[in-house]
Amino acid sequence: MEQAEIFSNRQVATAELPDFRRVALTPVAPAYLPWALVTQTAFWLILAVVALIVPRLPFLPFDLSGWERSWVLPLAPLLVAIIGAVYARLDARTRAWALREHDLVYRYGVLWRKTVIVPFARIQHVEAVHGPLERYLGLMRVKCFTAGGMTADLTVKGLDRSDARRVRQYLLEQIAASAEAEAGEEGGTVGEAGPDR
Amino acid sequence: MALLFLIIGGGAKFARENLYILAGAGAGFAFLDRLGMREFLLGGMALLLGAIVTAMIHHRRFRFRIEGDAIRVRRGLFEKKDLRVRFARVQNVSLSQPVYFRPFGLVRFSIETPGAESTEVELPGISQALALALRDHIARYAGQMADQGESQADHAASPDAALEVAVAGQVLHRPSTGRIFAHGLVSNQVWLIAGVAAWLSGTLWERMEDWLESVGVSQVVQAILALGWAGAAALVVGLTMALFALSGLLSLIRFHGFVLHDHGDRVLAVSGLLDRREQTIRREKLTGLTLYQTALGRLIGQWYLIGKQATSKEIEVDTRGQRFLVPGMRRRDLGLAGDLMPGVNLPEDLRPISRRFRTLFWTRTSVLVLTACGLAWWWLPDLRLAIAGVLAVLLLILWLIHLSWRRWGWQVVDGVCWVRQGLIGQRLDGFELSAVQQATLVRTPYFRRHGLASVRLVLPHGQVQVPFLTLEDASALINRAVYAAETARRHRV
Repeated sequence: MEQAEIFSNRQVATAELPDFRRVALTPVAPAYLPWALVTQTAFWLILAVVALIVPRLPFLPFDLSGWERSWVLPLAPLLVAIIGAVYARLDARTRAWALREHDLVYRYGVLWRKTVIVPFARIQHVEAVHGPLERYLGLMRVKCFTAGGMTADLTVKGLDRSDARRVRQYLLEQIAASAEAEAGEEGGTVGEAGPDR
Repeated sequence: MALLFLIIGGGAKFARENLYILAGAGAGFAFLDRLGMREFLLGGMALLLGAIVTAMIHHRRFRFRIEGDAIRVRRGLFEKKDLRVRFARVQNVSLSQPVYFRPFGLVRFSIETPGAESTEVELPGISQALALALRDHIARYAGQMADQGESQADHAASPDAALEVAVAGQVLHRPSTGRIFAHGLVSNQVWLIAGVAAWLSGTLWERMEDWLESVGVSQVVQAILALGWAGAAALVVGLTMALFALSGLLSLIRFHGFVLHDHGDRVLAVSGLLDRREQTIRREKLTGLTLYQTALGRLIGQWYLIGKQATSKEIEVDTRGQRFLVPGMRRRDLGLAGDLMPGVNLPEDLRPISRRFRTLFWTRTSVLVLTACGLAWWWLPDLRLAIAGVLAVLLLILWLIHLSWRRWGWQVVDGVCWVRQGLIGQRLDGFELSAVQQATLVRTPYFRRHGLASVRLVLPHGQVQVPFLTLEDASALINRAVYAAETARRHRV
């Protein structure tokens, strides 16, 4: 295949390649923390409130046999909510992103800290999404779709709305540019390059 | 004539899709005394009539047309579908000829594109000449940007020749019948068959017992039981052998006369006894390949190869053998990888992953099991024998962890990355670094303490992971992959 030929011809010293670890990453917008807190803890808080109220209702839809006066019931969801909040706090601190000339770098995760690199040339299409809460907080998510199944999609969360727009614009420009380059090269190589056999 | 086959095909498909309902209905008919033979026949007739009418409408509605560089298909029973597929997007053309198509010179023709979950276009029952012409037509359009002069000669296969003659080209691989049988013996489908057999025997056992009692065969069973351990062992051995023989036979039927041909920009595999199948795959659309050796296959040095293509499927499932499988390879056949993807060489040796992989899993498993065992020893003195058994199992697990660590390996040769994993068997994934869609560096707190990292590479055909590399190696691998992807000439799948 053509790529193999390129690579066997042009020896590349690994040490001279641009290193993704040297990129200065931009932390996500400060508004990301409240958004993550709300989205991650809201469900469990509601559940805790429900667990608090239901045993005190005059009519019970089901038998609770002895749990009526217990304070333990709402504690479990509350605990999960607190853990979620702590996690969101830590997560917001590590989440960061950067654009390079040819790719997008995104870091996230608390225990499993992941650094994802998506070359622009591999992005199939881009989507910018914002929910009601994100609109209120001025946030936006940018979804990048690549080939290789659903797990291959990267969602860059916690971008400022203006940042997100700029990122999306930049991505679209880069994708268009790489597609043009591809078309140009393909046109030029019809005659000379063929498979080995 | 095509109509008749459509009815048969439609019936078969209907039966496949509604297997559970049919099985239930059949059981109901068979075991309920209330329904007599007459009702059974009536029901069958109604179903048959329904199938015929459906097939007739389907046949009337089904239309296809070649529009220069694309194919257009219109079909649909209740909902009309109009589909247009450009030949340049096609990555897999396959022709199959079930045994009942053969006397009429018909074939089933299907096309796959990377975006679709399953087969995109299927033309059931077109004439063989048309199918071959169409295949070559597609190959011409699809291969246009790759080259024109060289492979044109190969393309000039006469469309009216028989399937076997038309695929003339350089033979890359032709495993012997014994090898194909061996492929069935060692392939994991044995366990699948065993599972199905166990399930069937479980559900049928009660029914069988009644039947045995009534027929009076129970004396035979009792005779076997009277033999005691020897009889039981013989039964088990006999069943196992039957299982393996069945698996081997299935493989023989599916891969009968497997031949892999080289046609310049595409490779072509022909195989099958009852359902003669011809798969054409474009070299350009091959994003990687995987060499498999099952645990049993290691004993007799048996490999098989699967060519990988871009897919949108989440889980790799064998949908009626749609994937590109080359069975019956020996160690010296492994060079086939280089024939399929030119410029690809098998690595001579692989680099191991960090020793800490073994250390981490050894210590964590041991601590967990030993603590549990210690507590159990203290609290449950009655079960000390069982605890000793658990400790023996622990030793086995530790050995398996060691095996797994030994099996992991990776190497980059000429821009092609190889990753090996496995336990007793092994799989060796090979792909071009330039095909990488996304690269991820994963670091857990443990990794951060010891200067390690895992690399996860997303490829058009799925993910490949290399765990427990040193941070330097992991970063270098990612840098290389990203660089290769960004400087690659071919951009999207």
